[in-house]
Amino acid sequence: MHGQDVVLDGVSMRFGDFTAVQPTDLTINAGEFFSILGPSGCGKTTILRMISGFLDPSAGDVRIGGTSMAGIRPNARPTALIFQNLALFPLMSVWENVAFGLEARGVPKKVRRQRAEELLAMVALTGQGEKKPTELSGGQRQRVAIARALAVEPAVLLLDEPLSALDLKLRQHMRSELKDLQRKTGVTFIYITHDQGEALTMSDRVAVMNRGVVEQVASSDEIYNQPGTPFVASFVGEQNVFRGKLSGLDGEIARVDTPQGEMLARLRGRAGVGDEVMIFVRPERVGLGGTGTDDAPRNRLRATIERRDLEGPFVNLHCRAGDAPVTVHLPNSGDTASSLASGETDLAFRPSDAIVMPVGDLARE
Amino acid sequence: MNSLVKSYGKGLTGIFLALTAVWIALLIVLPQARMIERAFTYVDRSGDAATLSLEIDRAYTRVFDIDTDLRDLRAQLQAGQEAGQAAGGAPAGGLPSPSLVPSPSLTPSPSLTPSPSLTPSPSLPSPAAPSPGVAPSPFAPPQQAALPLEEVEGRIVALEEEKAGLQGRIAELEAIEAETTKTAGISESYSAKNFTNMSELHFRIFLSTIFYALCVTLLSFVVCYPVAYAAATAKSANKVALMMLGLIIPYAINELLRIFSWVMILEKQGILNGVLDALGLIDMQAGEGIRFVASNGAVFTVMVYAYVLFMVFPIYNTIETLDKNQIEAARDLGSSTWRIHWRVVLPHAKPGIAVGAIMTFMLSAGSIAVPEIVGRGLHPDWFAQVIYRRFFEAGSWNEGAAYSLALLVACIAFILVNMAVFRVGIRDIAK
Amino acid sequence: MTVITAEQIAAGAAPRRRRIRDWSDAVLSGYLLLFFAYMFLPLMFMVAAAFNANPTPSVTDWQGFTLKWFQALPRDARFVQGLLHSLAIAGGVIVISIPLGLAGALILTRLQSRASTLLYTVLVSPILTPGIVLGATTMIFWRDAFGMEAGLFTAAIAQAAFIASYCMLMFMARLQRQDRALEEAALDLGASSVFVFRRITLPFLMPTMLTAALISFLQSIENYNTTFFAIGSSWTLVTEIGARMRFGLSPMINVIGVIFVVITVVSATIWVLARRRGGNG
Repeated sequence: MHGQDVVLDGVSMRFGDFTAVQPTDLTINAGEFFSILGPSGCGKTTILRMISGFLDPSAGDVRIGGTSMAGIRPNARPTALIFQNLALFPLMSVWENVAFGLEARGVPKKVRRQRAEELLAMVALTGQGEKKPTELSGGQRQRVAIARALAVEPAVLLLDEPLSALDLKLRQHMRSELKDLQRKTGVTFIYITHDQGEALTMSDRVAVMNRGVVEQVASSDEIYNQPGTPFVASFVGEQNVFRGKLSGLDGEIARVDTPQGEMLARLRGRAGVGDEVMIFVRPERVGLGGTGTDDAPRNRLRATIERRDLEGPFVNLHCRAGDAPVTVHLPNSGDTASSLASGETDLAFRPSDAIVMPVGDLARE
Repeated sequence: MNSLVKSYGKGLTGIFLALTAVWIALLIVLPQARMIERAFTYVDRSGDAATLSLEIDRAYTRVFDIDTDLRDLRAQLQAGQEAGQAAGGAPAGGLPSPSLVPSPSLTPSPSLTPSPSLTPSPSLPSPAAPSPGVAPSPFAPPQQAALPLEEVEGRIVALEEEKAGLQGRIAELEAIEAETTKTAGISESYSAKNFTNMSELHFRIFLSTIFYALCVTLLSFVVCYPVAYAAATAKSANKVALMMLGLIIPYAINELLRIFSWVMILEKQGILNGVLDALGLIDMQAGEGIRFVASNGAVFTVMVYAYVLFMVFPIYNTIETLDKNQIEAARDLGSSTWRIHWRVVLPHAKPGIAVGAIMTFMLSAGSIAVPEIVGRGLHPDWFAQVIYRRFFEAGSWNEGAAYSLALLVACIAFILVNMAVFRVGIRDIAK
Repeated sequence: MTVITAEQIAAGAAPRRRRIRDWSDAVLSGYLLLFFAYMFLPLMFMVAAAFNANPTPSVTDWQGFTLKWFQALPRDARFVQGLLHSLAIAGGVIVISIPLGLAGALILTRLQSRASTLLYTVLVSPILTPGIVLGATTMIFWRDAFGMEAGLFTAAIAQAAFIASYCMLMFMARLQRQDRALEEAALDLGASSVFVFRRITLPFLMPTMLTAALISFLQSIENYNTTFFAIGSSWTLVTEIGARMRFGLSPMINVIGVIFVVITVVSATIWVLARRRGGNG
């Protein structure tokens, strides 16, 4: 099996007056694990269905391995889709499910049977071939669906939130299995999800979508640490947000007047002095006031602790600074944290850990 | 259309569309269209050829009557000679006249009508046919005082002469007809005359049939609603199963057999009279007994019985989907039983009532089985029978088509009124 | 004291309400008893009279228990022939109705246009048309258009006209429960439309196909109104029963009645039991 690249060239999709996907250019490299992350209704499933051929784009072109897919029906594309509900054929046995694509291609039964067994072995389901899909557990059904899709040796495997029906433990386990499988087969995986954990852990690159627009395409690290838009910043991971006015610019560092006092942060995007802006800072980048050891400049603010949650490796402090809620994730060091159940405290974060973005897009929310 | 091709591909879509087109064309639209065309085609029978064919028809009728009489007289003669006496049941009137026995398989008039369905069938009550039911039926022809043998012989001779004369005349007329049809055919033209020519009697029958059908529908609703409600709200699974069984069995048993069971009850020697006899109200031994059959009342009673269950299931289906907690809640809030039904159950059951009403009305307005069998031709016709006679006895298919169309229009009107009153769409109705 | 607490009101009202409820329940039960008596007594009379030696079907004038009417039935050539005709027509009706109903249902469930309501109306209209009108139109049309005289063929066509609509409704109900993703998954795996239809859609519809065939068969066998008009000089078991009944009653009809009742009771019981098990499971 060899992965192929997928190119969306100015692809858009309209349903009547509603534009599900704005004109989009996107290149997914051959053999890549690529995720499309976004809230429900953002257009990610529409993109998937345009790649698989169940929807024809209103404009633009989908190319797979350099070949335009215009006018090519789903059954003639080098893609295989794993459905959200898996869509296993209930009346067929497990091996017949796996071998369905081969049956459709007229492969003789003996060969089909053998190939199905190989694939079932690959997904650790040896000896389950005669069962009906309903007799398997959720995780096993998941693997049958994957085996069935891989049986047709697709160049691109499309996965539509395939783990959403599983419980948490199984989901985490399947993540690593999927990643392994992708590496083993070299097939291009395009993975649709609204679960950022899934997207960030498995993917080589992630596209974050909102309202039919791809807001950012980048590696997991970059998405998390260098969000390109306010939406990406707020959708991926947790953020503390302070609103204010830009009062000055010093190279990359912006000075912002907020109700919590003046703060410094890195500017991303375009903004001028006097603009309404937002400051984003991750809870784990905020520390208690006295803990800093270097001389780097810090933003400091005074906050009231309202609640303390212990979450295993972290202690989460829910505080309030003026009218802004502030969450702080402290590493659980074992002794000190338990005293911080209430009262006032000083909080601080480095300007390089905070980013400033114009309110712009988010104001629409 | 695109969505179809996408789902099934070109080939299969083509096949499905072709099949559906054939269905619509050959089974639904074209037959209806042809009927409507016939209904609006008036055949003028006043032309020469029409007069001629009428005369030929009459001659054939007479020949047939003579044949029947002859057969009876001969049988009587033989019986008389054998027994050495003239006693016996010689039905001088012949069989019941055709208009009383309108069944296609039983009408003893093979050559009069254009319909092939009137060929005499082997089920004619000939002595050989094993039909034990014939003898004691109220249909037995009136017994006539026996005639002396000589007189019988005399009549046979006279009839045979007349028959020979008629046959000669028929041959003559048919020869003329064969020549003239080319020139003086029956003239056909589009007009509404088939409707406007409907006799006052037929129109009255039409109206009263509609009226009776409405009554049957209303009565069925009154009878069925409590039953449907009880079945849909029954709490224990066993009770539900038992009620379903109790409703399905009579529903699934053939319409004719349901009618038959009631004729047994209403028959002159039937169960109802037997009960009256046992109560000492009448004396059946003395030949007393009320003939309940062959009255409009009997037709009506049996019709309610035959079609009542078509109301139960649609109503049951809708009430079953009602959240029973709504009833409990309404009761808890102190609503009276009437109010609960009026405000909660009935509004929810509206689509079911509409479906039940439409089915019941359609079945009773178009029922031929009940009036034919219960009525025995001895009471004023119902409209379905009038239609039947237009087709198979008057041989006027165009008038029959016009009358059928009238019935169909009445049913469509009823459906539309129902859809408006109950505010339901066509997709709610046919489910 | 004129002050009445809410509890007192509730305490006073509750028993009264329960009394009314018991009372209305009793009325309903009594009514049901009457209703089922009305439904079943005539049928019981019919069954009982089949065993009465009296040549006039009767339960009041009992002339001894007999099975002779049962023995007479298979010797009655017209009844036997009628049964064969009925079976032939029913076979024809199934062969016509299932493909037509299936095609109509498949089109209607996927047709996304305003024409679909119109098409639906046309396709279910035969159900809402009086049987005699269906019979008459079929008889007229096939004779006028193809010179086909009324007979077994036209009877089967006339019946199929409305039985196909019933089949269509059954198929539509089933198709609405179908998971579209199954078809898409099959298509995505490289199957052609025909292969998807044969391997996914048809097997999914198979149970409905059997039910529809059974119901078509029963509807066809039982039909009187439509058949009566469309069959011409031929006859089915049911039109023969009708013809005989006009002449008076015969215990042979009771015998047929007994057979119908037995078949109905057995199959209805099986159906209700199957439904209960399906409902619980």
